[in-house]
Amino acid sequence: MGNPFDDPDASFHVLVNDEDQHSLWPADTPVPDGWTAVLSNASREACVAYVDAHWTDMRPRSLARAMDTADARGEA
Amino acid sequence: MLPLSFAQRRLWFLERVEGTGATYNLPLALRLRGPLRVDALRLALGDVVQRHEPLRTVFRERDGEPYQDVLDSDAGHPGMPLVPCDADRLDEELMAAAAVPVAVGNSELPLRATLFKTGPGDHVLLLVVHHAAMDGQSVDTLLRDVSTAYRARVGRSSAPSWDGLPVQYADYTLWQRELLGDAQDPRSLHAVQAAFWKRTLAGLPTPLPLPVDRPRPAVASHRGAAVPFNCDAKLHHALTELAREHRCTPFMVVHAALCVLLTRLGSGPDIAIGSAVSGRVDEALNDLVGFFVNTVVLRVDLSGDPGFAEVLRRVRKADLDAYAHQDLPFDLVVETVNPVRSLAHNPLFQVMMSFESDPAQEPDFGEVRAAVRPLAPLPTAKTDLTFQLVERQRGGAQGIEGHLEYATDLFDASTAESIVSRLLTVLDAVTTDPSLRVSEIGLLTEAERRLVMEDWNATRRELPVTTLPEALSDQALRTPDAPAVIDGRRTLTYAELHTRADRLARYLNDIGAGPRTVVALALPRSADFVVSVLAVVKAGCAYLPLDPEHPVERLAHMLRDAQSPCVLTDRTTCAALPDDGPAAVFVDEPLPPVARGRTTRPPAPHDPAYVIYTSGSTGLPKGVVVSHSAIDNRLRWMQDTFPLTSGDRVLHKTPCGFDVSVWELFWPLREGAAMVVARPGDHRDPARLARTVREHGVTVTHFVPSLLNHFLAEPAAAACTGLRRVFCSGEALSRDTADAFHRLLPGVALENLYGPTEAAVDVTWHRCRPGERGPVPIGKPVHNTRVHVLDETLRPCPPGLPGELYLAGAQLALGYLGRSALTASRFVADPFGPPGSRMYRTGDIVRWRADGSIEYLGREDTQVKLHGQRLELGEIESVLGARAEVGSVCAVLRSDGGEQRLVAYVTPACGPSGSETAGAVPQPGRLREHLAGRLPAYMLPSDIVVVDRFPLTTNGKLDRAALPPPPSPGTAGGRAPRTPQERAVVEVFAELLGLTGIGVDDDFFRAGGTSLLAIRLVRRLRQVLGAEISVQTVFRRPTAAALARHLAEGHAEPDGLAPLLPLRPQGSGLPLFFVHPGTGLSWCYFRLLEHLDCERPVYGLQARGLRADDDASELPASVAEMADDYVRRIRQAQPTGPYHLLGWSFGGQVAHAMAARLRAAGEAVGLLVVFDSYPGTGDVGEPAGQEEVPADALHGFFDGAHGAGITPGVVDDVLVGRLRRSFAPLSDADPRDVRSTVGVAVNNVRLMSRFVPDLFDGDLVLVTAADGSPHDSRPDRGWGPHVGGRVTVLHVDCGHYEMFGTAVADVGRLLSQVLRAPASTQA
Repeated sequence: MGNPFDDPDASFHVLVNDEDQHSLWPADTPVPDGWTAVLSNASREACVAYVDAHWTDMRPRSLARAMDTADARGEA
Repeated sequence: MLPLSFAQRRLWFLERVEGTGATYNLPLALRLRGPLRVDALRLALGDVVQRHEPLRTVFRERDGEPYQDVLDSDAGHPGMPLVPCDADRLDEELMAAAAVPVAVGNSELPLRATLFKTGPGDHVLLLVVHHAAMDGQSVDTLLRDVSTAYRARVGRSSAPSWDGLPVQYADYTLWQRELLGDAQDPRSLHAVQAAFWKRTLAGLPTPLPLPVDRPRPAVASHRGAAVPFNCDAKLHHALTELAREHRCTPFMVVHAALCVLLTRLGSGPDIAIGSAVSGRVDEALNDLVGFFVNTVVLRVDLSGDPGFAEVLRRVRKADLDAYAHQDLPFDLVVETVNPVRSLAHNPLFQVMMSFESDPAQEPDFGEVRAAVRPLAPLPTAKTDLTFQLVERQRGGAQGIEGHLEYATDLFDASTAESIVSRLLTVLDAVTTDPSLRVSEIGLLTEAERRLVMEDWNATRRELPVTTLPEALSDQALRTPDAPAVIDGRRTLTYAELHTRADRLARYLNDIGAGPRTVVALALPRSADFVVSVLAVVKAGCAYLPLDPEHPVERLAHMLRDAQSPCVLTDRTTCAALPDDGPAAVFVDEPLPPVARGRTTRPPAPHDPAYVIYTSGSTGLPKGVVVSHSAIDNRLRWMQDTFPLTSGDRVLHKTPCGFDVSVWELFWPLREGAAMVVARPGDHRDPARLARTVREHGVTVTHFVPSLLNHFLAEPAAAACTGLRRVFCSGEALSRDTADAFHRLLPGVALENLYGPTEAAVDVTWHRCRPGERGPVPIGKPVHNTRVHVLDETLRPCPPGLPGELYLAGAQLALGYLGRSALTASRFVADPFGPPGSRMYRTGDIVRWRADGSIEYLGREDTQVKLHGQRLELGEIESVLGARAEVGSVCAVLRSDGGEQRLVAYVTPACGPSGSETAGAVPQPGRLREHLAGRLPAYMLPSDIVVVDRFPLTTNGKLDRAALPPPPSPGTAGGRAPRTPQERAVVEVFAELLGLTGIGVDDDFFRAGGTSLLAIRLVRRLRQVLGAEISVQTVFRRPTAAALARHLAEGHAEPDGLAPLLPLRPQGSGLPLFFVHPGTGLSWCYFRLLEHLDCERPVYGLQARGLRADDDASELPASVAEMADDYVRRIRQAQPTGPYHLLGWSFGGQVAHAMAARLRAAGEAVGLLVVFDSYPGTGDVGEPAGQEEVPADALHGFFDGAHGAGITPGVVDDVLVGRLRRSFAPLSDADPRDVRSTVGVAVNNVRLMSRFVPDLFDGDLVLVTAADGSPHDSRPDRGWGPHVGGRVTVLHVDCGHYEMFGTAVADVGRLLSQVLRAPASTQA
């Protein structure tokens, strides 16, 4: 039984949620609620490259914002 | 000699290999209401048998070749016993009678008829025909002809005047060979079709993976059951329409749906099923009863996720192609394709579907109303799954009915039912929308969806969201003086622990570490380590544990990857760290002075709490970042479920790089319990662990199952009675280990936990309870955690079906440190959770159990393929693990030197000393035999290696990579014979296979042996070595070495029906020869042996004709003839006298006759003892007709119990069944042998009634029983005139049938006296 995320020849999307978390997603499966495709119907390789290039701060966005604020306050 | 048709030959062969069973019985019941003329029906049956040769054809064998012998119609009359039967017991009686095997290979008629009378004018005729004589399509013909003949017999009192049949089955048999032509001629039909099948079926996956409930046994039992299949008229109509639109048949639509279902159930995209074709290729054959049907293999490729319309197109092509090549008999297709043969499953296909149309009108029996009475399916299974469907189409699509027959070896009824209901679900879906792709067809019912998505995932629990330092500090304030950490003789209270940790935390903040910082720790397990971990989390940092035992490159990678600003270590451990690492902070020295840094905010729940590296399949370990909220949820669930109290002591022994250590550290410190720190290295030393547990009163601990095995083997483990609870995780916990645990530590809870590092240690839980059976599940999800079992298209799997496990909820890690692409491919969008949530895919294959817990089936990668066969390593492990002398097992597929080899590693069982398993060393040879008896040949490891213990990784898990390579096979393949047996077997191999240079390790079948050659092999070995082995044995032990070992170990099959039964072949002195009683069997004397006060050899003479194979005409016509025969036999065992003869009942008469003959031949007779045996008068009447069994003949089988419910009569199936149940020697006997045994008894009663003894010129000892002679009251009970010497009468106070039963000890004592001093008893 193969996993749909590991098929090197399949077509994928890159999805992003409100927290700016990224997810690889098989292109032939409906996109789950709360996620938006930022790259569609691309090769697995292209999707991986996209994620590496665009998801550089892996902290959930809300956390990152809160932390940055708190840290800024701490420095002040 | 008329050869068998190819199809018959296959059945004949199966019967030779698997023994006679009811698998190929075709039962047919006809209810007859009205004034039935039984005599006319009996004659009509005879007419039909006269008309259709196959019904009176028996198979015989010459030089290993079977042939058809068409009996003339007198000899071939089947008889038709009339059996009164209560109407409410009819079903039971019909079932029992239908299930009695009909043997084809044994000169037995292939048709059995029984007429049950259930009331006045109410009969049921049961015909049981062997498949070799008839097929499904013959049924209408058979019934029509029986009814025609009956009407003729009733109306004109004569045979029916029907037209002769233009051809007979024999003609077909010969014509079939002609049609196929010479296989060697490339233009022959044989060659052309063989080429087609070879091409079409090449590389077929075998066996087809099916959603089984149990592992496949080595030898299929063919036991089966059936569940009903009902497709209503509406669906039938819809699929008929769909078929029409796609130029298909309804069969093709159902076939296509079945292919889709099997693919979706995990069978893969390459689906082959078997199906029947009528085989009546000429109209002239239509009116014949006979076995014409052929089986074709329909192979369909479902790869590429096609839409259903496309599937139909592929199915249509596959089916039409197959039908165009249907002339080559299945048997020859198998021979041509030559797949790996196995007794475990059918060759080429394991799923079958037959599709028939409505049966013809009910037969016309004139005044008697006849109706076919549906019979419940026989409890047999021809293959794994067989759909037997009948299309009701009289007046349009009326529905499809039938049943699914399933092998009970593999399936439970509930699974078979779900297969049927899912097939209907698929049909429903595709008839509604034929454009649906295979993957799009929903198998899950709405109720199942609710179950797996909601009910079994109802884990929501409102919990306060805290961070580790908050919860830990709160506890320290509650119990400042309680012991927190016990490290050897040193104990830190909560206050001391926190004071020290706070100081270090402050230092970390001062040097700039805080939330967002990862601080590494490289310290041996100690109180200092605990203080340091606490300090790091209190400083708001995430801690990164470095196991100092790991290779320095690995540590360097982690430090670089995590960008740790500093590493907490000590002066000793720092030597293990890379030189170019971050700044070291030595916790075993005073902290250097540092300027007060900025105030740092406390960590937030979503801040990282720790980073633990796990091995990646790609090589470099990856850092899993786990937040405070995730581990907080995990710790709160643990406390909720297994509350710790202040009195508890939790052992901290897991290496810090393994996430189990996380709860070992924080759980006790959150709850006011004490943590006992095991010394560094102790986690690999069960004895020291046991000592620590005892010395410090540890109540709660964790073991990886491999380590638990070691621990349980440790003698000191049993003394760890202070333990309250043990957690297992990290590997699959075997049932054997759980059982061993419960035996050793009764009353201690054993909890099986499961979870990847990526989901905060554990996400599912199962409590192991003593007495549970089967695999240990990984259980149900923990608080605020959802688990999904998804198929390849990310849809939920129904219960029971394997899928990949996905995790969602509060415990998911944040991701992999600095690895965004990897994180995005493992932590993926969750279609089932709240919008925008994620799920983690584990790569673990699991399934839901009916109780809502999850069963772990293995990693995606433990199903391996060897020589094209798929196999599950865990299955081999569980079979080996069942041996008492085996401790742990690990099966691996190795590829040392390029060639793949399956190797099993075992460790000795280490039961507590003094237990029965202690000291037993596993013997690879024995284990191989054990496996060979339970697993198909393709699953047998090529090597079994015994190791003292398994290598473990530093985390205590089994280190597969470190297992030693098995000893090189060296000269195997050409190894020369070492023993005379091996040489003989190798020579026979060479002779049969036409090969030279065969080695003792060469596989008979791989070297070209076929099933038929195996039968000849058995026969040749009997001739050459005089050894009895079965064909099955050849399958299980297909090498000369294994067969020779089998023979050398005295595994020659025991023969309970031998003419001279060696009751006790060894001993000193002259043997005692006992003659069988009326049953013909001498087993009754076995019980005498232990009461015989002497060491003499003892033999039992047994009658000829006990075995169904024996020729019935060999039954002796008189006691004199029998005695002559027996004298010859004992003279072979003991050439000269004096002879010692004994016999009970009828056996006494025979012994007397033998004694008389020996004396007449001038031999000495040392002793003649008869037990409750009397000379006959020669004037007792003959038993009634041929078919009747006299009561006397039966009493012997039932210890004379008249109340056993036996009515003397015909040997019907009921009687056979009762005999097998009641008479131990027959309990395992082939029913055919039971019948022949009764035949022997009947004959013996006849002989006894005619017996008039000669004069024996010697002494006779008579041992009487209480009921004495029925004929004679004289003191010598009538023996006097027949004995030249003295008659000594002794008495045992018991009944005739108790002499060798309950009173056998008394008889033995008496006989011992007679043997010690025969003279003194002859008073």
